Amino acid sequence: MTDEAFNAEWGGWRYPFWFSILLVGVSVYIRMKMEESPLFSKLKSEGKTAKNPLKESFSHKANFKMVLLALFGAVMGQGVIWYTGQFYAQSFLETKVMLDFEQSRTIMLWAILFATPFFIFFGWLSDKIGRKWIMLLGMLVAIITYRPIFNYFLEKSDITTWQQEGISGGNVNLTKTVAFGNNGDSLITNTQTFTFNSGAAYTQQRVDTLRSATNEVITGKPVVKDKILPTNTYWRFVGLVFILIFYVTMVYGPIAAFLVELFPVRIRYTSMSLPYHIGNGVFGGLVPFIGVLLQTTFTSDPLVGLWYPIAIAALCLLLEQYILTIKLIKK
Amino acid sequence: MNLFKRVLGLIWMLLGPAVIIFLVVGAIKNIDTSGNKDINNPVIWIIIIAIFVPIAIGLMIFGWYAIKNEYKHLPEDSDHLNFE
Repeated sequence: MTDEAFNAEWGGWRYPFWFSILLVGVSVYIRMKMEESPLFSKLKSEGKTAKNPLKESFSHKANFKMVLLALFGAVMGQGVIWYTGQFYAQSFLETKVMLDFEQSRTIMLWAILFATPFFIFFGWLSDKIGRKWIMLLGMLVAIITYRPIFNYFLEKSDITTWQQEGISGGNVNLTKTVAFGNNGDSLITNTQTFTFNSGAAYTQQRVDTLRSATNEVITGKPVVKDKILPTNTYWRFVGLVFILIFYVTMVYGPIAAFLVELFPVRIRYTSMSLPYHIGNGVFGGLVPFIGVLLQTTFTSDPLVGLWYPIAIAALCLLLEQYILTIKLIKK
Repeated sequence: MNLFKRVLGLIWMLLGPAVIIFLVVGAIKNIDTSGNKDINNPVIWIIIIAIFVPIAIGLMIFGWYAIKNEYKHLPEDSDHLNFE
């Protein structure tokens, strides 16, 4: 499909939305076939369901302390591990490593494809051996390995290392001049593409400004972008992103059952909803923003943005101490 | 173990205000039209601070419960929850 056909009003960008109609149909079908759990049905038949679940969930100490425990002791860590593995990793490959768009996206797609079955595997395993230790292990290995993994991404895409290998295909130079402003100034874009023996390549772009009044050229700062990785490095990147998403499957696979078992039936759904959405939406969703905030504040370390998910996961790991000794599976 | 959890409770109580201070200082330093375009927007900071302040208060309450050893036992049955 051409860019024009994709971007047209009724073009290709709408196809995924059309496809989602099918998913809505599947969702409706599943819900129509679902029955209440036996425990809830029993509670309902006895007239013991909550009259005001929102009030009962958050205004009673006995339950509120469990809501806090679920948020800080489980979902908060799961949220940051999830967003770091799937979203921060993609953003890092595109804005820090400066990979070519197609390579960064296919790396993510392969890794997600290979890792997705492990959501089911760890859900199944948690039914056999319990939820807590799988989630704890997922958080622990993430805390230990995040920095080495992301550092590997930077090291293997370092163009100074590539330059030592020598250029095979030479470089291609392109210069484009466009008018800038109303006073006759121009922007001159110099684009150079370098190709290496290993198959790696990158583009270096510099935008200079030509002042028409003085004929002076103000030289811009060169920017390296669209890096192409050699094939073997590409698959190593796929492997490492797979590991990042594998951690996600360890913490995410068991979380739904874990939350269900943490709360008594009477106020279960309302109580688990708040920690789940705050843990994922707020703690997880802010991974990119806080990553940029840290990067702007502490400019010397390119991996400084990782301290946020590492710190939150470590905090969550410590807070899980409060859950470890608690008997789960509530009635 | 219980003593450890209770001592940690104090840390959670202190962490709450620390998070609020970190965010407010971050907002004051970064809200600037000439600053980094990803984090210089006051609206984003207001939203984030508005969301995180109740969470930080929740962390302080969690710490307070931990100090009082409230997490030694949690209700295991709906019948143990007395909402009347």
